Amino acid sequence: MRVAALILSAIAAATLIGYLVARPALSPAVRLWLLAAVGVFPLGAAITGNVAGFHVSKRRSFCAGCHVMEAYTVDAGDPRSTSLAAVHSRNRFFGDESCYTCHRDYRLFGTVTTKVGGLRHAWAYYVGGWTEPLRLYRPYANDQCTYCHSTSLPGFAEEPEHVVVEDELARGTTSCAADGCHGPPHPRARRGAR
Amino acid sequence: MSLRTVHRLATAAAVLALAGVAFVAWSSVDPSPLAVVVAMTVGQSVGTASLILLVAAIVIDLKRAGVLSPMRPRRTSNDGPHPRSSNVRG
Repeated sequence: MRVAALILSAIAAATLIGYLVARPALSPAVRLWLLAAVGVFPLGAAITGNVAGFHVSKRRSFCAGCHVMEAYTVDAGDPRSTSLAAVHSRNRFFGDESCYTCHRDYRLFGTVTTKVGGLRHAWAYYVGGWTEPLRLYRPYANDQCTYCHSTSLPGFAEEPEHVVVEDELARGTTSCAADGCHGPPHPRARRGAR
Repeated sequence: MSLRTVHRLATAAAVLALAGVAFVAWSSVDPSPLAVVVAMTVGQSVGTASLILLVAAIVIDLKRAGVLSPMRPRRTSNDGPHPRSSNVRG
């Protein structure tokens, strides 16, 4: 998609610059040229560029683009680390997108709210500022774990710890990723964990 | 609205489209958070504005050519006098 976006951008730029330099009279052929140069090619570039952008923004390397995230992403990519994030990042199905997979919103319109949340992060990083230790905007929802880890399988109920906190897990008052359960998820989260 | 207006709108649309395409190309070459966010917000807005200007130029151009004007039947001298011009009184 990135290659397609680049090719369409190059074609659009060439036709646009050609029009702006030549400034020809508006003959029927020039009208068609304009429609392609301003309408078709830039629209194609925008669509493919958007799709490529959405895919790129799911990757762990994208999250690591903000230096404040490096401590988290370096640990997640460390093959010797035993943190929850690192274990999930070694999954061959979604390991390269582990940040997105574990932190995205799985509810209706979750893709949109996740992207809006990402915009908020970018704003904080480039404009608004942040304080360390970093904190989540809201407590980590257990739904994000149970989207993949089913609580209806027999193995889940066979764990006595799960049975004890079953109601709290359902209400979200106890986190799967809490200290003493399956967390903390990141090494740095030990200092400022909720 | 003159042909000059159409030219100006088309030129403005071309300049904005060029800027929008530049943002898309930047985010494709260097997919960093800043580039991708700028391309998907500022780039999209600039591109949308460019499309709106192009549509405006097309509409004005079509109106100039009479394509978008309401159709009226042509009258010839063989059709007789216009009904409103008759001297019939009720």
